[in-house]
Amino acid sequence: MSHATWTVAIFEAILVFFILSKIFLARRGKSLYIRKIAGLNAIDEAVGRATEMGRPVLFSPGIYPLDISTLQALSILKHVTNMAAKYRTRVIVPTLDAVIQTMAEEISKEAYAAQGVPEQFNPDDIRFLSNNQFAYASGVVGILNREKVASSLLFGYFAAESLILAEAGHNVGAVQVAGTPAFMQIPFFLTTCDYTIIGDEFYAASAYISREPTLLGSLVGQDYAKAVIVLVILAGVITATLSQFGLLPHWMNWLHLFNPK
Amino acid sequence: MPILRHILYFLRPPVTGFLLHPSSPWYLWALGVVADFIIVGGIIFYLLKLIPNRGRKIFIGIVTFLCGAVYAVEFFIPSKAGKDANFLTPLTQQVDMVTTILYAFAVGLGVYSLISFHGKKIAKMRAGWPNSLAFFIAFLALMIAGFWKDAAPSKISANLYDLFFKVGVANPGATMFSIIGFYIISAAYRAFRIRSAEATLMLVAAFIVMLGQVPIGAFLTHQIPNHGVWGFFRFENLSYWILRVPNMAAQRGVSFGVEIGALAMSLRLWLSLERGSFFEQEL
Amino acid sequence: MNLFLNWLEKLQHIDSRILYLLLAVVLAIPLVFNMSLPIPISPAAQGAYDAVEHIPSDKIAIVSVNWSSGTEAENQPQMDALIRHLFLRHKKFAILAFDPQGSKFGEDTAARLSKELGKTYGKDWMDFGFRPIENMVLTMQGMARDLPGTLVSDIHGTPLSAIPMMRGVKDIHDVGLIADITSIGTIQAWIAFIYGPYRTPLVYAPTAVMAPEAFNMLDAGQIKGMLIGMKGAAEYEKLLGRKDFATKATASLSTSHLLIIVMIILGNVGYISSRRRRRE
Repeated sequence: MSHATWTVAIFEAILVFFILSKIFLARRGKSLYIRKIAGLNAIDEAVGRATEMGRPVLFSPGIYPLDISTLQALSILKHVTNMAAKYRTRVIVPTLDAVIQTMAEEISKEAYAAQGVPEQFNPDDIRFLSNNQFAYASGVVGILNREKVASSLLFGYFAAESLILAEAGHNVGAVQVAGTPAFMQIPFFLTTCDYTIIGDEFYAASAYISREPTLLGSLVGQDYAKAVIVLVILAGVITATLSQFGLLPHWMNWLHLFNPK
Repeated sequence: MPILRHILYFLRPPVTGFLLHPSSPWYLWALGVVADFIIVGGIIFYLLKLIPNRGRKIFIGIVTFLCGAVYAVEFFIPSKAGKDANFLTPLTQQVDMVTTILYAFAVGLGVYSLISFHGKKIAKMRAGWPNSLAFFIAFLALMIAGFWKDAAPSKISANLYDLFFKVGVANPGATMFSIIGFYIISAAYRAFRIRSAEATLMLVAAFIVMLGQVPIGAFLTHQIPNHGVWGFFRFENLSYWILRVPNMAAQRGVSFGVEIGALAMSLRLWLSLERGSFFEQEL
Repeated sequence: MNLFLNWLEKLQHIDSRILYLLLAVVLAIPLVFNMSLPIPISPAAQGAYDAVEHIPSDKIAIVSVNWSSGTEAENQPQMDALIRHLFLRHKKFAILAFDPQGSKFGEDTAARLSKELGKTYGKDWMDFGFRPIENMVLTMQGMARDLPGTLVSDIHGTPLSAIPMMRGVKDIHDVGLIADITSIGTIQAWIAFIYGPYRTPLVYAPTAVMAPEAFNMLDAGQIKGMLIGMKGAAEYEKLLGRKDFATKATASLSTSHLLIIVMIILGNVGYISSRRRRRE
């Protein structure tokens, strides 16, 4: 729908209320628990492995231009480059979008400057390859093979080229960690990568890595919002089933409120 | 270009908005845009410089909130009867056009980045410089063929463009996509192992869906009558059921999680609550 | 016995190059020997066919071409079959592309089929050309309210008022069907901005890997039918009574799927064998 109905507006207000309230509670100092996500722990191991082997890390922020998933990928890139700069490890960031390239360059430059080694930053490691999906994929495969990458981190929105990147990374013997909100690419990453971050674990990454109260609060608020959705679904299933068998008066059937018009 | 002229005319910047008309000659518009850039851009940058560092964050927060509020409020205000629009819809469309134009500048940025990278490689004769030379040759060849086809259409220019398009763009793209087919067999062979009960169940479901998607699956079970209870066990029907029922349920479940995550991140960005990356930088 | 068990264990480490060679052979054989198998029609493809059949005679269809060369093997046969069906049933249609390569593929296909079936540009079909994908939502919203005002001219620069089939086409209510042939996620926008407010029938022709995501929409009735990759194109060809490229290629699809299943089984035989040996 391109405009909300009253039901949608009220429902969205409830979801937003939970997210914002948990954010503000977290900022007031309430401690929040977040379960272990193996894939996100593995990022540190991947960078460590690259450092030991003296080979670079490759980080691909996906193929989308600047949007939510790419911003999330860039926040993970910041964590990766901070760690890599500490250990003087190269991070190669091929991008499909020139705007993302400039942002990634800023992030990398700052990370090396923060570690006191600004001269270690090589702008040629942050490359715009092409805005064509398969030209980008073939460029990344070339980098994986030529640079003998030790770890390949694939975070962001991917499409058909996901298997090309992941299989090429496997062929060069790289440790691979992937995370994407693109549901259809998850099976490809699961079969080829060592660790895969599925679904909304990708959006939890920045909170998990930084443990920043605002982000943790947002994560807990998301869980409450999902619980509300589950309750509505359960209530809907019960209502629809009872209506089907004529066990519910017509006026009690509230499901029509969710029709778009 | 007509869209840009209308936007600049609508926004009423000093030169293009007040002195020019959408039907004025192109060179006057070019001069007008440059003049507006210098005048309006200069004023904005000067004002931004006057704002103290801490104040800039608040200023950016206010602008972000207002721009996001346009879209949010437009979505929640009901549309007029019979139309899919309310009084704010034209404003969101104008904002969309401005962001599209801003993004168009990125095209030039990408070209500059490629030329800079490959140019340095050739100049310093680094390893792999012939590949950078090949980039320039391909770039110029397709650019010249494209401009020739548009500026002086002829059979030769059209055929040359088609040849470069097929050889340089279409066929390599199709080739890269085809590699996925080969990678799938090696990935599936390597990864699908019966390590647990769940893995076995997934393997069986995968076999059924794979066979149901191709005629050989229908052929293997064509003896089963296609009606009644037994019809369900034909590969194509079983595969369709797996896609329509458990697959759809799982998709919806993951989608809820992903979309709530995106909602939360959008909220944090809109309300300037986001942390990390660029959001805590000094300005 | 030990030799046999050793050999079994090796089955889980077959070189990838052998796999690739086997795959190339099983893909080529059905094409070379013109093998074919009967193709069952799925409800999704039947739904797409019926949606085209039921386009009112006073409305046009829009064929949205949003794919590039990478997915030509899947989307080209779909586009061929859909456009042929539209021509055969004398349904007027317009091509609209949000991908620059797609615009060329759409134009070339429609021109080729138009020549084959004796149709006329401007009377039986036309081409709006390419619109940037960054403007996709704006274009959709605009054409829903004022189609000639938003799309203005065709691919050759001819004003829409000068094109015979576009006379009388004012807005989305004059469009009887939109067919989205795509390798990118454009269907969500069509549903949100066209189906949602105006209930214009939609038909979806994605690549096979995108299809599982779309069963939600098919089940909800937001799309009337779906052509799932090359197999969907083959089903459509069967409904049209033809045996074009997709029909011939599905035999290759069958043999390649069988090969993958056989290799997975062999890999698991080797895996189970090595697990048993380790336990002993």
